[in-house]
Amino acid sequence: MLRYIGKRFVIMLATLWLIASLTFVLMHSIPGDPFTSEKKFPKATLENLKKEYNLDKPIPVQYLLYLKNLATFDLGISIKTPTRTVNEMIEDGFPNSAQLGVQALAIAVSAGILMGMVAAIYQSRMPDYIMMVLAVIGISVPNFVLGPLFQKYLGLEWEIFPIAGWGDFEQSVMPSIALAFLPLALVTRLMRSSMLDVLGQDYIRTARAKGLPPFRVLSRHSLRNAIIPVVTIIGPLSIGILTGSFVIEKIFSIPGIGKYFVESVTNRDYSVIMGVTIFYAGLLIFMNFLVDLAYGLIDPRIKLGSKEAR
Amino acid sequence: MKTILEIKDLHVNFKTYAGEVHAVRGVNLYLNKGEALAIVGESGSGKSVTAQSIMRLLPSPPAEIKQGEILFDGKDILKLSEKEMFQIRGSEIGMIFQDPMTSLNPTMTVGKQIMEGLKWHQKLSNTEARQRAIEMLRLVGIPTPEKRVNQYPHEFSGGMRQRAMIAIALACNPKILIADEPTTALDVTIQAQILELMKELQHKTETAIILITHDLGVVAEFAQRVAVMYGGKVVETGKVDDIFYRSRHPYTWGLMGSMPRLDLKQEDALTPIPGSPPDLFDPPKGCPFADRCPHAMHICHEEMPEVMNVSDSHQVSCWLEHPQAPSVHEGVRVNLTTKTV
Amino acid sequence: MAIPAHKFERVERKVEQAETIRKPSISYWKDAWLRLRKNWLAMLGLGLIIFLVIMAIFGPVFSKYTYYQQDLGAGQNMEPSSEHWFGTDDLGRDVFVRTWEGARISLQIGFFAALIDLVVGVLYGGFSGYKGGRTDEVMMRIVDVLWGLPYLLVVILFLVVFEPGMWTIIMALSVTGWLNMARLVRGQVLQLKEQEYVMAAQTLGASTKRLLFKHLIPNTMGPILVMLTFTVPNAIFAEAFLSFLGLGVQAPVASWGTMINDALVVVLSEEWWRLFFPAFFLSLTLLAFNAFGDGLRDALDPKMRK
Repeated sequence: MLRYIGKRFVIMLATLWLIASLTFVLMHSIPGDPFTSEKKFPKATLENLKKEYNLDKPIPVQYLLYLKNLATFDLGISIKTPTRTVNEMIEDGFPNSAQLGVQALAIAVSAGILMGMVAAIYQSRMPDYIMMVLAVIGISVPNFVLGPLFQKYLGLEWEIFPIAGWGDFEQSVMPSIALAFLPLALVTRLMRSSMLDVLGQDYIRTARAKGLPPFRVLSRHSLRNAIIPVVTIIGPLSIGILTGSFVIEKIFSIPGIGKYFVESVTNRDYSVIMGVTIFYAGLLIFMNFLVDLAYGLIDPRIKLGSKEAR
Repeated sequence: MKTILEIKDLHVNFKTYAGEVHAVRGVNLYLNKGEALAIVGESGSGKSVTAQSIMRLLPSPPAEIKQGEILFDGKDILKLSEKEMFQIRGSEIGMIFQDPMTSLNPTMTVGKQIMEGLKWHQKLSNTEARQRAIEMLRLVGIPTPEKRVNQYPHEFSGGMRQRAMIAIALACNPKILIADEPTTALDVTIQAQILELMKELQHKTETAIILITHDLGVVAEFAQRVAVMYGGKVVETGKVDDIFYRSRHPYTWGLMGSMPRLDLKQEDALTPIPGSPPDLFDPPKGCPFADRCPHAMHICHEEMPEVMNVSDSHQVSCWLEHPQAPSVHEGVRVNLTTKTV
Repeated sequence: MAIPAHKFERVERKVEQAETIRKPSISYWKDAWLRLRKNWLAMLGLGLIIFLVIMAIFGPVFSKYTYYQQDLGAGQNMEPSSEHWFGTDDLGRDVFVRTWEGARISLQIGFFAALIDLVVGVLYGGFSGYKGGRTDEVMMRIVDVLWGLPYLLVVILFLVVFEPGMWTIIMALSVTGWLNMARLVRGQVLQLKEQEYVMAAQTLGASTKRLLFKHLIPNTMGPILVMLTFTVPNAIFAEAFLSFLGLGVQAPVASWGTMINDALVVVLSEEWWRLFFPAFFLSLTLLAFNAFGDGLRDALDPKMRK
């Protein structure tokens, strides 16, 4: 167990280092420096700025300084609005993004498990077809199409939810659902097939042979085993939700990291791009690590460490 | 002796893409209190389907019980509501399955799987159920049951898992235990142990047992009565001695011939039955064994023979029993092969 | 109850007949095709894919307009009509032509992304699995490390740095896209390596190259094919996503993502056609490939053989 955690941890660090270095190399392969396009600065100011951002030093030194800053969780200063550090931006935006993401993930996982379960129990009957049609729509309609549609109908025409903005819970409902749609579809499908697989297992027959009523068989035997595969995709789902939040935050004007990130991409604010990328990458890689560990705990058959055998 | 279970004219079909499979076609059987009945037959003969019908465990669709009665303590199980069935399954009739590797829930401790039925049927508290689970594990011969009760199935060996399955099935003291090929998936040495254990438990608990198997060696060892199934029908039934020494059906003779024996010379030791079982999508209207039977007559292909009483305990359905049929050397094991395989 | 005596005459056994196999055996691929054909959703997907490809190739030809031709003034934001089948956008460009231009971009990106994943993934995974031992260990560690990279973030980084365009997107998608394929192929190769026919070929002195291309790869075709049908919609989605963020193909080239992004400002107004057509065909494309992929996976799954 410990050996396994250690190994996963080393891989996690390697991935983090890789993404950090990749970001660094890419950002420094842009011809000139981040201030080249800014014509408004006088020469002296420019020199000062370069000094402040360590751009006057040789590249290897810059690289080491950069890694050192990362190790102390210092993500640097925005180039376009030098009064703000990337850390501040993340502190501002992350709570909002996190709320959006967690709500979306909660909707996707809970509703997905429920829908997939219902579909499997009513295999090849009406509820199954309804769930599968919903799932197919969820997979086929991107959230940047869904978002505007929600705004137009749920927001503007039927006035059920506020069109955009952020602050109270009502405003978070539409973006959360829009963001949850794709992962919801994926969970539903996975849960359905996993549940079908479990329902055909011999141990379900054993449970029925004990005389347990269907609800008990379902809750104590089928569900737990069917959920295991769903746990494994929570990592990838979070990635999807996170990248999805870029467009959702843009569409619904939510002051989250995604919006800052998209803005920094549009106006080429390189230090913010770098900082947010590293932050998100770190977050996701860490989440994957946790999910891997959780998987080992849920399924007693998996002896962590001999995982290659899977 | 009191009859505890009686199956009358049971028909079970399976609906598939290719059509309807007539898996069980009019089975009649009875089981007396405390006795061990073996149902013997090759795969596809309908023996497992018959057993699962008793528990009403067949998935529907595709399975459908077309007609018949299964009388348990005088009540027709097939007429009970699903709710009444919960009271019978596990409590009155227990069942163990072929593959102990897949029949236990991998994510639940063995103890909990035993306790579940106890808590549901006998409304035991957690501690009581646990105590009983440990007792059951001890009863089925699992060493250090206090420790084992908290382990997961993957920590058990194949033989131990089957013991655990038996513990689950017997936890609520059922009147009948149905064992569906309980030893097929196990090593030969373990097989003997499990059978020994079941025999021992039968004496201790006076549970009636229906043992489903294709292994005649197991039958001789274990059962008091035997029913031989073929093509969805019971072709011969009788006491163990009736079947082993005075069998009247050519299929039973064939089964005996394909059983390994040490007392015969090498070349006679094992004689397979040529051909393959009938297509149950479109079952023959006559005797299902006629195609493979060395003594088959015209009538065998045309009409299903009636059940004939050989003795009070011994019934057979074969046209050879008909007074007009030519006599075949009775009780002599006829070499059924026409060519060496 | 007298039964005519002749009925009790013996008949010869027809053992030979009883032992013949009742059903003709069907090859793996033929069987898969038969099952695929019965799956109406998958066939619908296949039909839609064919339709979309044809329209992408010939669609713009049907119209007298081009995707960049502007018509400022009266021609702006026109409703769908016999003149402009899908209407026009805010610069007076024909939405019908632009939609199929977008389909060209999307399908090309999907196709090339899948192709690159296939080539790199099969070579890398095949080599790693075939070599085994330390080589395999090291190569798979590299995959493990790359695996952790959040794929769209990496793609965004690439697009920020390099000049945006269709080929940059394809390249960026390929940076991490092949990992899945490499893992799949390696797993299949490892499994197959143990099987007897490969050992037989080895004993007969077949070369590594021959083994890889004549034995291993044909046998791993099924799962690879399934994965490819899912790579295409993922790449198409990624392109639309990136174009939506302004990182995709640049104006005046039309892409479904950019068209949706452009239409977003007017979504709340009456000009529904500007959002509807690119969004509808994007969704339809994703649906078609996903439905076909699902069907293909089920059809090729040996467990589903009946």
